[in-house]
Amino acid sequence: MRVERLSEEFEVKFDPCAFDLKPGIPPEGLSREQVYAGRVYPEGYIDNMRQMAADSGVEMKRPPVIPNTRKAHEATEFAREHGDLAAFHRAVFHAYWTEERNIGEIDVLCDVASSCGLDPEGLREALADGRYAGAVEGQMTWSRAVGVTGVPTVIFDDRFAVVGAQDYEVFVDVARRVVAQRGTKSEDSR
Amino acid sequence: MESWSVGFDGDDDVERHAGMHDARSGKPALRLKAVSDYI
Repeated sequence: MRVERLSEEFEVKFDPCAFDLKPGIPPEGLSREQVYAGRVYPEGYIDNMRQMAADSGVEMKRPPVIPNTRKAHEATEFAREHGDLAAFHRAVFHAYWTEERNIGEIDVLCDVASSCGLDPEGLREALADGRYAGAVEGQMTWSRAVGVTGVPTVIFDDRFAVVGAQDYEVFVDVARRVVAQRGTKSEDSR
Repeated sequence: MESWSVGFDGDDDVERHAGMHDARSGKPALRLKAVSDYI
């Protein structure tokens, strides 16, 4: 992922924030045909999207199910608290886009968690009792409140946002500018 | 990563104290909030 490449140059503190891209998906998910019925893409759109994903090391297929991702976001909070957040975040993307698994299913999330060295039964318990539901809802509320309408939106140092799957050069340019603009007295006194 | 280094040794220490450089790697710290969904 482009964001992860930034760690070659910066000490990145990665902070995923949940966004509900398709509100109203039931817990069991919907078929792709149901969600995207009648949608026509411009010529080359899908190929371009796949190529951009491939450039970031992600083999992007067309999973047949559009899942409800609420539990996946809750599981992300579990990973934030108990393990390698970035690895789990990457693994969930891989499970969905490459392995075409239904990441709305708790069994799938527990399996992904286990592959990342997290305790699958601990996660199962946390998802069952909704331990992180409030945190996820709070992130979604915050995203809407600050005007996020498209994903991914990457916010640098709480003050500059890049929207969409941009080239890596865009990310690293913004990161360098954000870092270069530090050092004022007001920044130091944060 | 915060570095609570004692004393003052020029701008580098000021920046580290402000959490702007990682004490171990020396790389500039960068906070990235990634707003996204998995689908």
